[in-house]
Amino acid sequence: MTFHLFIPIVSPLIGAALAVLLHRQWVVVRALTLISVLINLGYGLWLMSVVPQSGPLVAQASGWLAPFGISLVADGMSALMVMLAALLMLTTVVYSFYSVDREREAHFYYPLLLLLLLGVSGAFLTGDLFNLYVWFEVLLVASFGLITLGGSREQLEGGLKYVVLNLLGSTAFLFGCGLMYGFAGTLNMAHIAERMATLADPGLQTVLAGVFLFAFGSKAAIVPLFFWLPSSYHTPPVAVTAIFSGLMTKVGVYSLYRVFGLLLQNELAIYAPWITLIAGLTMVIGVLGAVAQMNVRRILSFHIISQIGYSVMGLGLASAAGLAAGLVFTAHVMIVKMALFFIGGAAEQINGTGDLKKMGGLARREPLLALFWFLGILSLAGIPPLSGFIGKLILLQVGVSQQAYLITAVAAGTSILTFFSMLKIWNEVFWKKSYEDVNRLPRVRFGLLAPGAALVILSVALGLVAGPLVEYNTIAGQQLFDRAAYITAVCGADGCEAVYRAAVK
Amino acid sequence: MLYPIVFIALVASPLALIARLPARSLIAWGLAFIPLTLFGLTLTQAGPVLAGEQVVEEISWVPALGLNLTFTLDGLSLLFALIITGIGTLIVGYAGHYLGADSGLGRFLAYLMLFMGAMLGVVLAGNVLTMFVFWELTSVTSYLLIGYKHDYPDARRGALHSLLVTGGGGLALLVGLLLLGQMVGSYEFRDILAAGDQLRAHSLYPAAVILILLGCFTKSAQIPFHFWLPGAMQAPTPASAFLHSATMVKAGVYLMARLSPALGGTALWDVTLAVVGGATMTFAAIVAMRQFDLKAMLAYTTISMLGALTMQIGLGGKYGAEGVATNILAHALYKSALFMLAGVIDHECGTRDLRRLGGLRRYMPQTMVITALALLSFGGIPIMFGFVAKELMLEAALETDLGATLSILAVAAIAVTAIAYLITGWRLFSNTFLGQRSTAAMQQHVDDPTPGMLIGPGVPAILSLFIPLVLLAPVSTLIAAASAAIYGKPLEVKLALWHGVNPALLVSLSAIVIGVAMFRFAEQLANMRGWPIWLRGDMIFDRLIERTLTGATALTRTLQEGRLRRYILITALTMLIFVGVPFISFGLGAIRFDLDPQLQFYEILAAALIPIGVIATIKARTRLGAIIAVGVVGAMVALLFVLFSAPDLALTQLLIEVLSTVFLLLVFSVLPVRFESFSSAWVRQRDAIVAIAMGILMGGLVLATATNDSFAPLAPFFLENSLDKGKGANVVNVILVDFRGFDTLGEITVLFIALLGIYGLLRLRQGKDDVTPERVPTTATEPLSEPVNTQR
Repeated sequence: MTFHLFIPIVSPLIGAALAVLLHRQWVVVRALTLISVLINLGYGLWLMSVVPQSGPLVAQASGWLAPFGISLVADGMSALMVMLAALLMLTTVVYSFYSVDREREAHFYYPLLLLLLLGVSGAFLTGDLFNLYVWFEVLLVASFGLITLGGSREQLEGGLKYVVLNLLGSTAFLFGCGLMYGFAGTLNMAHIAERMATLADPGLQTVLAGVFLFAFGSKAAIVPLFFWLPSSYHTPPVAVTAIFSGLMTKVGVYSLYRVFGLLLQNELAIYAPWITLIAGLTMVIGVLGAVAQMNVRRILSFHIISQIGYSVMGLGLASAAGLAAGLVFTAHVMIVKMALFFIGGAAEQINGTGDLKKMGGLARREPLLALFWFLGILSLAGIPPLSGFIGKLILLQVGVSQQAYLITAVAAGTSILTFFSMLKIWNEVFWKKSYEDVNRLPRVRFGLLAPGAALVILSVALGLVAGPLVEYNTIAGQQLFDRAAYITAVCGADGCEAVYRAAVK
Repeated sequence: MLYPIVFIALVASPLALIARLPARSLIAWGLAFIPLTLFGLTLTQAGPVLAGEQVVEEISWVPALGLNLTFTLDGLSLLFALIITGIGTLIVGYAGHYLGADSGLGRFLAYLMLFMGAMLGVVLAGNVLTMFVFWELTSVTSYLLIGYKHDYPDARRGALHSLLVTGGGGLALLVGLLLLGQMVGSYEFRDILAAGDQLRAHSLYPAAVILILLGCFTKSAQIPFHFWLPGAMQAPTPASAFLHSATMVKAGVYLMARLSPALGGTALWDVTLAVVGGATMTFAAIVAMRQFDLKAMLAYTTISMLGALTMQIGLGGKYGAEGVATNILAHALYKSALFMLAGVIDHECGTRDLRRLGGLRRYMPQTMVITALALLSFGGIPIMFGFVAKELMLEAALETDLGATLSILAVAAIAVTAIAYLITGWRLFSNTFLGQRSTAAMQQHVDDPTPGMLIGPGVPAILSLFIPLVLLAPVSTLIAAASAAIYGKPLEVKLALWHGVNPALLVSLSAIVIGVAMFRFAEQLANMRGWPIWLRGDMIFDRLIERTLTGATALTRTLQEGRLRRYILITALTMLIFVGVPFISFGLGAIRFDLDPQLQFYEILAAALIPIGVIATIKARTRLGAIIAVGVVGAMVALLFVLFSAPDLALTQLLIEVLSTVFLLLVFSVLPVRFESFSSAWVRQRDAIVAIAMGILMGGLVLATATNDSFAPLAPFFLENSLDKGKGANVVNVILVDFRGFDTLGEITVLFIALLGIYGLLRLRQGKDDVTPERVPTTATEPLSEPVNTQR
């Protein structure tokens, strides 16, 4: 048994609890937060080094045998996501140290961040459908706390839309869990996968796939379920928007991958054309939304939607290679998107506004900030040799090799609009003359620059040394698509059904 | 040795930042040693290449994607590499003088070095994906150079146009290259070039050709994508001379030439190239003739020559290949010289407008001589290198395999172009150096620049004369190696000034005679009215951008229109589709209506009261009534739990009911007693239909899964083991705290988080963001506040 799988769940949970108890000592709170996040990061990295060779690692909560108890399972995709979540949370925490006011800190800002990390990590690690729902609730409530913390009118309005629309998705998810138990008689993912694999013809499981597509689609902000995202993402502090952009929709993508890659793999073939259609629409509508905006964070928010289209495209390609491609892209975009939010936030801080029309002059005032922003948008637009190029290239390659020409063309065409909308920010914020004397603008603080810069450097590095990234995700994609290996890892070589029969007379 | 050639410039580019220090011209000449070294390094590799071999080096980068860093040096690559590094050396030195007063020189030269490395990568890459990587880098560095003076809106506009056009083409190119790779099974040029027959027979061939040509045409400014190149003249002149004349814009030509042995030989490829290239050549030559801005003039002649090169690739044959290689070199020499000279004139006189220049022969004699040399080559006057190149172009047109019509058209187009070039050259020369000095426009002292600034234009201009006179033999070897790569087979090339009297010479000479005869009408031609400004490519492109913006705004405003109830409606409809369609298609068969034989009347009663309660809630006129009706629903659900022996659930349900009623009463105490309805009847009916459909769907699904017994549930295990292993008789409790205790941990945490969130929400009312929020929304999407909806 590998009980260490509980570490990324226990660490933020205990960290958050202690931080709440000791909330009067802000130094202690910050230290606890950092320690928890670093533990998760270290553990995630270790997991990534182990899982490709070992195959999925499994732990059973309370020691109850799978499929009766709750399983924690870490395969390549889980390990990658756990690591990324911690890494992105680390940059967020550092950025928060320099940008979030003491008032928020005193009102449990850091514990909420840790609890968000808890929910996300739990969702990535669990091998149980209902347990996944629980972690979704954890992260939803934590995110709602973060989005409304501060209580401005804008935040409350945005938060209301956020929570109502997200609850609709959650309700569908819960509904799906109930139906799945009613139909499959089990909640353990491996067991569900095993039982669903026996169904050759479409039937109720096909309908359930629709329920999950809706539920996780609304979490991932696909078209036409994205409304909650642009309504709310620009209202909280930059650090919160940034971590949301990195994690929230990606949990939805992760779940889509898990459900269609493992649980309902047979149904993926039926849904693939529709998923691809959604992917294309999501790419295009998201980027057009971004093009239409005149505010840094709103542009970036709409972009999240567009990029989700690419991740969903990987699923729509309905193969291990497609999922691997989608994972490469998703990992890339999580990193770069957050970097852009951080840098854009720093730019807003300097100009005192996020309105493109009123900003300007930053290429002269802050050449370093400009450099990192430029590299970041190049990466997002998929310009070589940055990580975005690798992500785009692998998706297009798989698209072409699977003769999915239409979505390939849309994916390629969308990136010019992506570039255009990003250049809009570049033109207005960095290149345009400032309306005030540039030298009177405040300088960027190190803490606001460093997190974004670090992530951009990571993106550059992932592009230059893309071999390991692609190899890792190829293995992760194969593990995700390999039902038999997953079932063996969770229930043993004979499968969950054998365990079940042995235990229930 | 190929790796250092590509990467030295890339790695050394930050070094150029030292040019921000004073003594800039000196530092720049020092930096010029970097490209000079690369030139030397390239020459050391030339021996085997000129003998017809290739230098190949390879390391893997992302093997899984077929992305290998393969570099190959053959004749064509060698020709380009020598041009890039040779002219690069001169440009870097020249830039030090041109931008000597600008502390941004360091940044400028850093971009230039980056570009140089990227461009070398394009021409040396032996793998199409590797080539694409560098191809995009050239677009990006070009963008930064065009936008160098980014305080000016025109510079930003020119930069944006160039990047959008070449970037868009780049995407088409990428997909085209992926298709190539798909057809061949390899991304290496050598494999692709070896698979010509297989490619031409493949069903994907037309698509691949069109996509690749889109990439090449945008990069090399062919009609209708040509407009970005005049806009790119916003770049400082050294950049224009280097990127937008001698090197980068030829990347498209390079790729077409490189791929023509594999992709050429079909009507699609040959005719497209010949026609588009010919049209671009003629059109741009005529436009160039009528310009008044020196750089605009040169920009259009560059477009024209790019068209000529494209056309020759299409015309094909031995002469086509030779013509391409020779013209690339000849053009690179005279045009870079002319651009640098335009920079000299601009630098010295403060203007490059032909209407404000004149009479410089007395003040800038050295400049005049160099300009004359370059212009003679440009005009294709005998004994200049430009003449040799033009003869080959005419031969290519005369000898083409594409049929008599295209052949005649091509010859005529070349003749017209040649005449236009002569007139352009004459206008440039006479308006600048002859006539009277315009006193009003030029107050300042005008003089020849420092000798250092004339080295840049001087060397290529003099080479334009020296190559045909003394260097013809070695250059022939180089051209032979380059054209062999374009032709696909080894070629015997002997460049010569005199081929005897042949049709090409006759056409050429008559064009010169006509051109010179028309010199007196040159200014009239220039002043004639052209077509309206809105027909210009850049204006059309601006409108396209504008339309995209308005369209996107309208679309976003329609979708993200700000009201929650609409979002909910769309979400509900989406669920109806996502779940309803598969349910109707695949799930209906699973429903079974077998009635429970022991159904009791009180069970029916409790169940029936639930919808009644719901309807009563909706219909209630007062808030109190609604609360009571909702209470009925909750109570009946609890009752059902009791009836189906789940007392724990019933207890919980009742508790929640009581609590929420209390809360609702508390909240409602501050609200009006009665509901008011704001929405129209049809909206309510629509919502009712959606709600009912949703209910039917949910109910149907529950019925279908509940009556389904495909798989045995886990429940028996829990029943059997609850007491035994879980030490509890109440199975629900044991599930909650033991079997699935992990879930409960999560759920408790949810409550805990909710507590923290509510505490923060109640206690912290800042009303401000960490960034000052704007009071007025500047975009279309999200109104700050929305109409209040109080109706149910």
